[in-house]
Amino acid sequence: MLKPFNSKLFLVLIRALFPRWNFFDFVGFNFQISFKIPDQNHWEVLSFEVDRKSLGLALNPECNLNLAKVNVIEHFAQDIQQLTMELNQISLQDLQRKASYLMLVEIIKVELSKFEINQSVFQFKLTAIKDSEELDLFFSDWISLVKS
Amino acid sequence: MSLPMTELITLGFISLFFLLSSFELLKVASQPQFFQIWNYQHLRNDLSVGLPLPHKLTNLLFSNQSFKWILFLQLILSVLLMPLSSPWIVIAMFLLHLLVCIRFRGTFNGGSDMMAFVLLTGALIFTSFESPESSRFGFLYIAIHTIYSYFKAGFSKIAQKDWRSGRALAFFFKRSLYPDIQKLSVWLSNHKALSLVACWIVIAFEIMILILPLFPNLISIYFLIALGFHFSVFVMFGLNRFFWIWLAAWPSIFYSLTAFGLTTK
Repeated sequence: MLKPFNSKLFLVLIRALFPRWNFFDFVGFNFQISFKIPDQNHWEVLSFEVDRKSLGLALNPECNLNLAKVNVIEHFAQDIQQLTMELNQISLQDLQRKASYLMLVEIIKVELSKFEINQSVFQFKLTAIKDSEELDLFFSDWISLVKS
Repeated sequence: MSLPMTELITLGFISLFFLLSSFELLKVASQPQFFQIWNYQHLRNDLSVGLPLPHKLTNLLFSNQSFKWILFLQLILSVLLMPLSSPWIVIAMFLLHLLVCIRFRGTFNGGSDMMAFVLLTGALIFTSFESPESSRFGFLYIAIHTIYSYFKAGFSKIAQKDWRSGRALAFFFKRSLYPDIQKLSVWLSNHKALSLVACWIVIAFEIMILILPLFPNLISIYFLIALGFHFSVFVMFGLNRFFWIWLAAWPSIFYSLTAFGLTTK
């Protein structure tokens, strides 16, 4: 059966064709991903910091890759907000079907592979932060660390 | 600046931008983590309902293997663009850039992708027409968008209380991926007067683009400040692509201010 065409999503996908020039204008929330492994009581914040490269003005792949990862986190936060508006109450299954969720899980797996973790599962949460205000938007189930 | 010279420099900078972008993305895509994250399997649901294309074509255009071919093709076309100056090459680059943006769910690098489309649209106009009377509208299109981009960026900041009160820069620096800029954010938060001045310098610079048609002899000075501004955006946030694509737009402003009598002198 053919899936219905989603014109809203279409406009999101081609939004680069409609320039918006209001850069860095609105001081909104920062989004932060934290993770936890079994037997660990505290949440560890995931960092996307990068080192400066001498030829970065020409080629800056590490920084741009990490900026793209941060974009995925922001897309996931937007998806939560949009689903909440559309459905009033959202289920984990609704979110797990989203591309932003699938990509975010892989981003976290990539970042966790940089640590020596002797566990096979992890849990993550998404937090919105502004000034001293912190709001937990999402808690995941336990997720397998094995590549999907 | 003459019309042929403007065309040559603009195409040269567009080529350079896409050459650097293609190299950068090929380097990124060569890392195993890239397709672990931006895998077609993850995007398939969105693309199948979000694009008015047959599923077979969507599969073909957005498969992991296709992404590398798109980048290779973009690389080759950016080399050919300046010597051939063909509208067909511009159209092909436009479509390839759109495919790259869609893969990143809209944009890879926000505003720089949008400005790249503005440049390509302008290039399509000036490479499509033989007569200077028509082709120069391509440069006017780029110039108007670029001037508006500075003005709109400044105007939307003035509307925000955090910019007017001097808090905004420290907040945005905190979001930088560079640890030294995050430290600068803390320092700026503790030096409120300096932060206020810095915020208003950014706003004033962006808004003041509108004085160029009135005082065209200031264009070289404004251009040099703009170069410094875009370089500092790169230093603060690592946004190297913004630097190159806005640089590519400036020859059109130099040309249009005189060619279209946008100046009062």
